Amino acid sequence: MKRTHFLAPLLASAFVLLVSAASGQRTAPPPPPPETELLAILRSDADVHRKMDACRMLGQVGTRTAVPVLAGLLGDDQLSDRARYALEQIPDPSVPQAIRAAIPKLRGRNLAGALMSLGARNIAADADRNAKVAAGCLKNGDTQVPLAAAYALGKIGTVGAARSIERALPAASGELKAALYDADLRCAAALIANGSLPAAAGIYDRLLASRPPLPVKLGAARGSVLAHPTDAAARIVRLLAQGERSLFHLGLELTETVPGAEVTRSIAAQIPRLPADRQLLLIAMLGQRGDRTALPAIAAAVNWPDAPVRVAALNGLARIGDASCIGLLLDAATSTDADVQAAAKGSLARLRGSAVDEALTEQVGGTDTARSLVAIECLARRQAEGAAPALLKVAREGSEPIRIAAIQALGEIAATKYLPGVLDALTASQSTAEAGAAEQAVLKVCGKDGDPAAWAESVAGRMGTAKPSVRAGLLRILASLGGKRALAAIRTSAKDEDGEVRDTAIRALCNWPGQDVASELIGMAREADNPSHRLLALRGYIRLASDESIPVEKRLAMCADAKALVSRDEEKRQWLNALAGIPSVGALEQITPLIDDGAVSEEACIAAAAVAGKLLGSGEPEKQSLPAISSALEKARLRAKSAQVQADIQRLLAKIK
Amino acid sequence: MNIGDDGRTLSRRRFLGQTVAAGAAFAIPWVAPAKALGRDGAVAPSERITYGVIGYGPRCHDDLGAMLGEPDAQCLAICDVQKSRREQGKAAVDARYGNKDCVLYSNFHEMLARTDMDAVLIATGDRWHAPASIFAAKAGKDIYCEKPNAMSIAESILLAETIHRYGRVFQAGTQRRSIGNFQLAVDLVRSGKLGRLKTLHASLCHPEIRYDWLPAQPEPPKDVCDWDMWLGPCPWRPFNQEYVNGGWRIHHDLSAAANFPEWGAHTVDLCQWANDSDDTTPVEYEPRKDDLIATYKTGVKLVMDYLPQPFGDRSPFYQTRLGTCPVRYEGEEGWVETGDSGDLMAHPASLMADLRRLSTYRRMAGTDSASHVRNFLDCVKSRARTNSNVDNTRHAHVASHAAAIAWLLNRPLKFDPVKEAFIGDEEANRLRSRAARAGWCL
Repeated sequence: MKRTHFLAPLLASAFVLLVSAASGQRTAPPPPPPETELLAILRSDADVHRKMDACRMLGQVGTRTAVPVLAGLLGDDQLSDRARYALEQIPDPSVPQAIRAAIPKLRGRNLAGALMSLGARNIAADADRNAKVAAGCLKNGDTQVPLAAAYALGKIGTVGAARSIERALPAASGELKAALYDADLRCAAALIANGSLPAAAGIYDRLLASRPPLPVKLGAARGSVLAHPTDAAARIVRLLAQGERSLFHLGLELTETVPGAEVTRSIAAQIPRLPADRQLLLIAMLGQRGDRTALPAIAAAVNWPDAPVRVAALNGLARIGDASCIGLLLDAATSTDADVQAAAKGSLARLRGSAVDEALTEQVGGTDTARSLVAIECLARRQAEGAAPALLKVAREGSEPIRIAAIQALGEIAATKYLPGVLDALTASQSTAEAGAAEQAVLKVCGKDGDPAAWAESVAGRMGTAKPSVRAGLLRILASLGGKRALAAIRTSAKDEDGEVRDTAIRALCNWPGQDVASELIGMAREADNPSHRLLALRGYIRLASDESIPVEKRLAMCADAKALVSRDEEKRQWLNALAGIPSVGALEQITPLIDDGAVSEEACIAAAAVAGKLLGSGEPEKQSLPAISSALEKARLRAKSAQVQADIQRLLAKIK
Repeated sequence: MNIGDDGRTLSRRRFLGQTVAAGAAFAIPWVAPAKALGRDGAVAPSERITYGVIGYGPRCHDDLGAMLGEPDAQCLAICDVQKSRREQGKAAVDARYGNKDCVLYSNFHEMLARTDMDAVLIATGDRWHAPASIFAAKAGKDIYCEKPNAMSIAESILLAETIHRYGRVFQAGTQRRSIGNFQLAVDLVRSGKLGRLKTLHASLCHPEIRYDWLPAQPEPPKDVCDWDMWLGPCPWRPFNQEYVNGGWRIHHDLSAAANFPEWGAHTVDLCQWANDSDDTTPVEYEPRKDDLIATYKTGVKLVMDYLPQPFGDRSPFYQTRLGTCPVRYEGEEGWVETGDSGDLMAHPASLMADLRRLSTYRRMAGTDSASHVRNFLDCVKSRARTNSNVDNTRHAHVASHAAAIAWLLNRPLKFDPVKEAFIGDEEANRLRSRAARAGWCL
């Protein structure tokens, strides 16, 4: 009784802690209670969950004091695992000693767990003692115990542990044999990590000689290469020569793993000796390895007859090649095989170094058109801005295909400082295709730095001297750039004597996004000579009326202005669409008459519902507007055909009521 | 393609952008030609990569769906401790192949013993990812495994060591490494266009943890749900249906590190990649109210932002419209941000122009496994390292777990990336590992 009374406050505080974690908490949990409280829980008659939780927290804060208490639980079927969790975490050196001391008293599953923890808490000073304890359990009659003992030996990972495994292996079978193999590999890996290469090599050689299952054989073969660094190249070469696919695969993996130029050289020398399907995998892996020692061997494969091998070699060059490969890659890029061409161009685009840019730039003005075209394309893909002067030169002086390719490349790489040169290319263009490429290039260059409109002056400055077709192109560019300077130039050109220029300018005005052309557009919509221009201007004007950034009254007025000019169904629909976005009874008044207009009746009903929805949805509508809204909706209800529109109208009418 | 400017709508620039269509100068190349890897048409059965599935969990629908779409891979079997999931998996596989050949297992050891199986797809809950991968490696299988890949720092290391010991190909299910917009954002950092990298932002679900047990319920028949096998190496607790229905999350014993690796496996990993620090981790972790600041030896900061609504409004930390799992890389001259929508945003405007020019990648959702699965299958054949290989996965997970430990202890911690141990904090070091239940020798 006295003892229970003493424990009560301690248990209560622990209980508060546990209850506080009864659901997920999004702040860091409070620190565990003091070790004394947790140990008190373990000694009490608390339920198993509380005791398990106490073990968990002892793992975090327990000291040497907790070790014997926890070790005492290793034989408890319910708490043994949790006690082990804590023991494995407590760094005190008494832990392995306590586990070793407990092991003779343990049986079955609890013994297996203790052996696992012994392995987990092994330190070099205890290794022999621990290995002896674990080895002594390899013949235990409970199936779990020998497996755990093998595991512990693997975790101990010493020559002594490996000897115990070696002795046990011949008589083992099934799961135990597999566990011993794994423990053996583990020991060898630990020995490599500790620098004991001969000891590790001995284990691998022994394992390989024992004809183990394939996964173990591969693991041992792999480890054997790592344990023989001076002989690694020869061993990898032997693996690559194996007919068995898994061994060849292991050779490939090691090709990426084992460092050294000599290793690279030896492996690369194997390429010609392999069948084609393996050649390309080895070439790809050598590329991945990234050692330029393999460059001659991979470069040689670029000219072999098998196309996939060539492609692999070209991809490999992208990783380890340099400017010396340019000629080879250009030859491949101008060959007849599409896959080879694509791979070669890809490599030219990805090869690293400014020397590659320079070598490609030298090709730009060469006499071989095909090579020049590839060089230009790849410079663009490389974003080689330094090539811009050379490209500008051939854009002036080259043949038409070269000129067009150079202009396109300039669009990709040229900074805005090269804009005058690109505009020169546009003004000097000799064909529609060339002019089109130049237009696109100018636009791209203008888009590279800050506000595109800032370049309108440079573009507009070319209007005066250019031929009409070029002026039209410049106007399209100005329309895309925007800004006051562009608009001024477009307005001037809208009165140009040349029909193409005038038409382009008027179309640009009709598509201009700002309100500053509204009065011009309604004027043109009323009075332009050309019917197409009248129509375009009307559409442009209605588009401006849809702009939600301008006041409602102005939009209503614009729609009213346009109404008189709208005659075709297409423009009626556009006009209704503009009105549908205006939250005003005035919009409803303009829409309602078209509910009776057969071709656009449904669109008018939709527009009426949209406006009504806006008016009713934005807070409390003004009472005096309700009759007008109701009237428009009632009219729409009688005409609307779509079930969805009907449902919307009914919902809105119900809202009014 | 929908690339935004820094919050503004610039229709003219967008128009200018649409005129651009050039190839990326630093796109990721294929290791070996597609034709050589058998991806160009029909594949003989003998040349197909055969695989089995361990755990037909929610992510398996995507992963297996992607694998079933690959003509050079063939699913032979499904293993799950839950009967209902086994049967769902079999239905999906048999429907794909038009037969009834998919074999069911409730014990993965039996499935791994098959010698006609090259690989496994693991899509269990957190607790089984590393153990199943380790057993699969020992059985000589290559592995595609969902994330988080480990329950602790020690398990991250153990997983990597085992994969190397057996020379297996491993792909973590951090599929964003194989998705164009995430790759492009990293390329942009590597190109130097952001200037010297200063700060990386990784979005995280809010840290959360619980230690309680759900009320005990009668265990179902072993054939319906093998509860002991479901728990695997985790500490025992009584059965409750909610756990197996997905309610295991944030229970400390059953899930990885207080929610940190749930998204950190992706976003911290992406930041590690962008920072070119796949072979190391930050050296300091400082938990704060709304985030955790990790610092690399170079001084670069990795901010792990706790998102209150990761699947909803992700502002003000990230541009919500970029989708889930957003990351943001900030340099001295600009920044780039991307997420699962496939969109990217950057500042200043000249960077946007670069992005548009280079944005020729195939648009995919960040949750789409297709490219990542393809990369895995290619590497099974070529034996090259996968995009999410076991080493970069190890370090990303170690960083996420280290952050979680700093949050749990609610104090700044210093970390030695070589020893993979905290410096001068014994309590933190204890939390680096979790013991396995007796009988589960990993």
